[in-house]
Amino acid sequence: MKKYIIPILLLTLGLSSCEKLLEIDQKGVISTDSFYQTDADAESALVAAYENASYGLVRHNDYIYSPYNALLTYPSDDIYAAGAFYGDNDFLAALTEFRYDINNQAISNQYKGFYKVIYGANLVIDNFEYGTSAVKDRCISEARVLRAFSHMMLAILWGTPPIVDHVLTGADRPGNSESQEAVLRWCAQECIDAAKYLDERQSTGDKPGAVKITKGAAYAFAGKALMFAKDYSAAKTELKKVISSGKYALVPGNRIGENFHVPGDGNEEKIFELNHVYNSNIGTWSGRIQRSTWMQINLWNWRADRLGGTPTHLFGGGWGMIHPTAAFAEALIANDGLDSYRRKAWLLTYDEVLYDMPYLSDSDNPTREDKEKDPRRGIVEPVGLYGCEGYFHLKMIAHADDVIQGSYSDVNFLIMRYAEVLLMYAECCAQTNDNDGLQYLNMVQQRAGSQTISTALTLDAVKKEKQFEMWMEGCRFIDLLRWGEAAAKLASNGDSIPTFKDKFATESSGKHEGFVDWSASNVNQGKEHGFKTGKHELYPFPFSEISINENIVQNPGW
Amino acid sequence: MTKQLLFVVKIVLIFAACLTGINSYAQSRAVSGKVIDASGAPIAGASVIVVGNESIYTVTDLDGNFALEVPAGANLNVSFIGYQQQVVPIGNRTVFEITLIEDTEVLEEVVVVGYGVQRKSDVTGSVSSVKAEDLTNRSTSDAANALQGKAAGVQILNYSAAPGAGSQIRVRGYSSNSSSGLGPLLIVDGLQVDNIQYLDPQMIESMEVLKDAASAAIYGAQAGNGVVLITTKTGKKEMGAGQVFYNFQNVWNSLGKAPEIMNAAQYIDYKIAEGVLTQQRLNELGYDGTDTNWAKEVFTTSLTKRHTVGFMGGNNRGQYYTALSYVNDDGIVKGDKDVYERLSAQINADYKIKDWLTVGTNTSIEKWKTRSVSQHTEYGSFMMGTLTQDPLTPVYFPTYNDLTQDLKNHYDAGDNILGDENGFYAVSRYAETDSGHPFVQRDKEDVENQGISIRGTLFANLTPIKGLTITSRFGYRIYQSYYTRYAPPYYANSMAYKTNYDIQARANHGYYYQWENFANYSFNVQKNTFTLMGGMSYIQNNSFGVDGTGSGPDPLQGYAPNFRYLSYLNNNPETSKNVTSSPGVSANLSYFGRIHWNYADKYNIQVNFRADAYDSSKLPIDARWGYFPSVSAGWVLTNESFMQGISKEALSFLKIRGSWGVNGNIAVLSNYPYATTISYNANYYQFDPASPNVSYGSSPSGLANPNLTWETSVQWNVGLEARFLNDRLSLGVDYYEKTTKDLLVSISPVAEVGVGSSTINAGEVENKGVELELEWKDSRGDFSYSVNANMAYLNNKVTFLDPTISRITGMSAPQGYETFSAFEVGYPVWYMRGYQYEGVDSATGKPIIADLNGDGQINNLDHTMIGCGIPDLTYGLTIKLAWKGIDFTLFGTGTYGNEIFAIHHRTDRLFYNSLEYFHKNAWTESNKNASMPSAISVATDAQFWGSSASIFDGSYFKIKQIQLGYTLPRNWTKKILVSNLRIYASLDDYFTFSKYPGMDPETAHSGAANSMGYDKGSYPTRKKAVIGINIAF
Repeated sequence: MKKYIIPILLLTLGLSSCEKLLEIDQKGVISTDSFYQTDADAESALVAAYENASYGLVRHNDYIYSPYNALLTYPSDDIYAAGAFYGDNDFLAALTEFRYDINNQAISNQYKGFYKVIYGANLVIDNFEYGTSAVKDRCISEARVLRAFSHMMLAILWGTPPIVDHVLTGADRPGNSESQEAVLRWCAQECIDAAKYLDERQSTGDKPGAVKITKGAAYAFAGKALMFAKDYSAAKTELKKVISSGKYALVPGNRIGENFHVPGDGNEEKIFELNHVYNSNIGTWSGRIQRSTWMQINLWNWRADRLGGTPTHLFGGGWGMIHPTAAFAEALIANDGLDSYRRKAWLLTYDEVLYDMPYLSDSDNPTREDKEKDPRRGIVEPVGLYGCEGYFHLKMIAHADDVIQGSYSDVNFLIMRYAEVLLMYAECCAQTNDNDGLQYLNMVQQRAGSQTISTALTLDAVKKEKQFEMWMEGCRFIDLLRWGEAAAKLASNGDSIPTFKDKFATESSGKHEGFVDWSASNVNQGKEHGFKTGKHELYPFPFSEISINENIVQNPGW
Repeated sequence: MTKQLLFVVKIVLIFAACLTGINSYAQSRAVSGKVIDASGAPIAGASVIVVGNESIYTVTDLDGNFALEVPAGANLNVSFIGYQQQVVPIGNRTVFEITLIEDTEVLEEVVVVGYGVQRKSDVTGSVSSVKAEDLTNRSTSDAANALQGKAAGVQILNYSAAPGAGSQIRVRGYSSNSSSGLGPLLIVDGLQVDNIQYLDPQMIESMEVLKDAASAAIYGAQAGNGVVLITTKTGKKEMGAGQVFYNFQNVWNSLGKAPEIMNAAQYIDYKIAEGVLTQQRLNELGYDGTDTNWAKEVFTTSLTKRHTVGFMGGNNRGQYYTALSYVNDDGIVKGDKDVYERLSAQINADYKIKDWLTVGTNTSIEKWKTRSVSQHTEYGSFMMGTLTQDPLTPVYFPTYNDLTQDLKNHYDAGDNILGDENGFYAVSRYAETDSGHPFVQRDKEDVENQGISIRGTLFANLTPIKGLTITSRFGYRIYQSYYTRYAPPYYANSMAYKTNYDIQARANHGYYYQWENFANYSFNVQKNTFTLMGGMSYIQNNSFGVDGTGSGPDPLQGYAPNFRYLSYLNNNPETSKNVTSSPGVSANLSYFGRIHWNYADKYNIQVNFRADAYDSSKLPIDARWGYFPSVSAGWVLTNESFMQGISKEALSFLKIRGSWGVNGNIAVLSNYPYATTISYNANYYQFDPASPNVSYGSSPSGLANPNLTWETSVQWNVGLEARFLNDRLSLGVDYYEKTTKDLLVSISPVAEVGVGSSTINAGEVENKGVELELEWKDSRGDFSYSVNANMAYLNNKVTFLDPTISRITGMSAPQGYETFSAFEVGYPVWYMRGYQYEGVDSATGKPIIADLNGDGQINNLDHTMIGCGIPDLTYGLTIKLAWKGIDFTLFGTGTYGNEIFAIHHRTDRLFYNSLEYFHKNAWTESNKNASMPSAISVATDAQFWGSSASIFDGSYFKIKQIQLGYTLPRNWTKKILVSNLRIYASLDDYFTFSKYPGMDPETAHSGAANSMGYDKGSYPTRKKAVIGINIAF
């Protein structure tokens, strides 16, 4: 029987329990029960909420441009959505020309993005209670303002988005909110209620105070929400708190352009912006590029493949997706004068592009005559620049110094700056015949170096000033909607699109000389385009949403 | 201990006896004895029956002893499985020693089943078997690929035919919505493996595919998608001293099916018609009449070489097989960026040390290296670049002066403009594409993947008593792989460029082991044969890896090739370095058992049971156990007396069988999906614009679901096997229905939840189908031939989704297509959803899109199923002829009823090239009866391109092999001591019959499980001209 012993031993060994070997601890996590307890946990949860805010607002996950900027900037009477040719990056041109549908990527991504911010905020708000410590009170309050801001933008763009004031489960299907006004008022109240627990920005030089939620940011958002709810006097109260705090100031006119570049990050004019990460030890794809506007710098920069060269201080490559309309450029020049700080920081004429910018070929010390025939500057491809009417966008064009590793922008993501607060306050005063606003309107005008300084506070003056000052900053479209001017100003968007060409290339004339060619692709193809009353006042709830949430009622016209 | 074992055996015997209902009883005379084998070892469980009175019988005990009361003058019939039965006259003797002689005559084919083998006629489940003769002398080096077209119900997917790209196996449809849970469990010589690409088909003796649940159920929670059991070759007893063999193959590869893309004239015509190009613009851009056929320019003829040398032999006590194989497969893309190199060795040996102990090993050693070109994406890839690059652009700009202004600017600025000895790669001035140029995609980086794996088993078979085999088997895999990437900055256009260096190295290694102990015990009781099997297994997999990256505008100490490694990163402030590493462990524990009962070779019943427990990374502790039962039965009608009247000439064999069973699919669970945890300090925000320090934060790792469990399949199967005309014609038919429930659904909760996705068990898929295998073989004199056909019909549909989800969205087509793949009740998994294209309005040339809901508007409410990547029918056909030394094989395989979504056109980038189909069939003023709309009406029309107009019939038939071989007469070759010498020539994958206008319909997939049939540019199947030689000494 000896020979049976080996197999039997084997079997016995084998059958003995190995179950404890199945217990394998998860790495890199802690249990939920042990978190959301201490002040440090509250700070930690809030950091996660800011991260969510960065991901949700700057550039939502799978969208390589900033959809926030796309939704607020592209539908406008001040720009052409341009690009290589008609049809290039059409989902963006579709926004400008009101040809978008409910699958539009920018729309669906930003809708999700706002709720991502809200989720991050609710994790703080749900898991801590007021009254146990000052740190927790502040953390909850910062989260509430982030949440309110997202709801405000949702309400402005979609009308009746669901209010989500707690962490939802995967099975929840929230329905539309009661009304746009109700959401806006809720947002304002949230900001006001939270403000008392928030830090105040320490001074105009307090940079950290510009990249987190402070009292100033809370009141500014409350004011904006109330203004969009058309409660101008209530809005005035909140906005005035920001102004009288003394913690914010307009940068001097000669630095006006700095607001949109790295040197202006956290400067005295910033109410709130999401801070980018400067830590080069954090890998590009470990959250850095994900919270930058990434491809937007390519998208907006001049279309380099049609140019003999790009000015050396600018980030080189680009797809030229945005150009100012001549009407806007000319109105700005007429208002400000050609030499205002603002005009020079905002846009350039073709002559300035050719002769006043630094180029690689400057090393030859060219004369004006040399420059006129220099193939290393200006438009050198006969096809020219689609969507360009002879003026060149400069305000938001990335500088070489703004760009990390040659591919994405290090500039902070600006949510609101002081000039907007002043102009909102001025408008609310104008709406309520309160002359207090004039000084602030003038402050903005004077800082711009504009030749137009208003002597009386009229709504028209404010509207004009806001169009110029806040150009490309996400105000124009929603202001036109609020003022009821969208149909008049946007109905013909997409009718005809200019292409700016240069005889240097088209006729080999030997001398740079620009001219405009017009095309009408939408009209030729019989494509529906232009703002339609009863439809384009609100963005549609995205298809990806309505197809799974039967409680959402689609917006009118969609 | 011994007592315990005896007790177990007794229980079994009693159980067996109960089944037959009668025990032995006293008679007039007592006899006793011992049954032994030729070596003198006792045979336990042998049956001892009185001839003529079968109710008087007994079985031998563990020591081979028996005692029985018998009538005087009776004869005893002594029998045991695997031995010739013996009739012993009793006479006057009372004590017997009976020696049974092993039955060496191979009566019947056996098939490998889990933890054992079975006679083919006893098999009650649905098992497809592919033998060595179908696997040798093929030009593929991948075992999975060699299965294609050889077994009904087994579909081989080739998402890519690049060198070194493995095929994927699908058994009986698509039971999951996940990408990780679709393939079968792979077992090679008892070892569970992660792939079978390492295994050269010529080293395989047989492949068995366990298709129905009852066959697979012995593998429990891992068997939900079927099981493939592979047995590698072994020496043969009769080989004696042994044999040396050498096989060589030389393969010339070239592009098979060319894509039907617009040429320059068509392209210009179409783009002008689209309204995006004008003659003026062509002039402005300096078009010079170039007409580049990109497929012709980027592909070439390449060479694949294969050598195999081996040794095998055996005798009564042991056998060995060892072979070394080398493959060097250079793909058809010009240059050396698509290469697969593999050196593999197989060492199989076993030896009978004692009469009751056999030990052995199967070992496979593999060393591999691959380089590949990019595919499967519209965002810049070699393959998509080849398909969509405009034909107006030449391949090269020979000199600086030929460059576009943009390239000149970048060249002047010192950027890296890629090119080779023929000049710079010509980047289109007409169309700015994500790819820039196919060669830019090929050359923009150096990526290499290589590794070494050792896979093997050590086993001991103990046969303490006859019929009982106790196996203890230790299986292991030791693997190591190393991936490197060096990607320098380059510039092609504003979409295809890179401004910093990326250097990456990833080393993975690990070891896996399984320890299995199981026992098989067979014995007869009268005409009953019982086979019992029981055992356990423990598996642990340990992985270790380190992944490091460095990047920056100037990150290296030097840039010569010998500096391109992480070790030479510098510390510039902009040099970023990143390292990740954490070890992984997974484990599972299982117990399993099987009872097989055969009565008089007529009735077979088999019951399987398995209990599986998985580690806490997959399931919570209290839910870790799962139980998987199955039962199956077979009835061989031709062994019934009432069938004896039918001549063997007409019907030689007929069996019907049925099975039912439950399997699981554990592959879908990993990384603590059920757990509610906090990702600790995984979030960050920088609170000070002036300081690079970040603050860390924590948040939940996701929406937790503590109730998650594995997917479970319930399948029943009925089948019939028949042979006619003296076995010349054989037929096998199976019908099955398989329902898989608790699919893990990664749902995107509604946007308002704010979390991207959450996983729940919320889906059910049904696969049902018919499988048919038909074979005719015959010979006349020296001429023999066979025709083998197999065919499988599959009906796949989703039968349930959680009511909160109406539809899961899978892959979207590229920007500007209003379409996506969907997973929805009532439809096949991941069907293609979009608009229904109804033709052209002949008056205007505009497309007519069906307004399916009749609301007068065309919007996404009119979406419907427009196609499906899963074929209704897959089939294979093999014809073999042999005459004297000449042999001929014709083998083809195909699919029917699947669709391909051709994604070439880009509504957001109109200058991409596309299929000439859309130009040829476009409505124009002079062709108003066209099938496709006018170019201008649909150029940017996302609805049209996302409609059934972009869907093509993906059915194809491919002749995979036409091989002619000649074996030189043995009396010639033996003079040079060669026992066998065969030379052959073959055309493999040479002819493809298909209506698809894109590249290869077989590989036209996105590579992802949720978008079968989405053609985003795949490495096509190569056609191959093969010559080869087989020599044996």
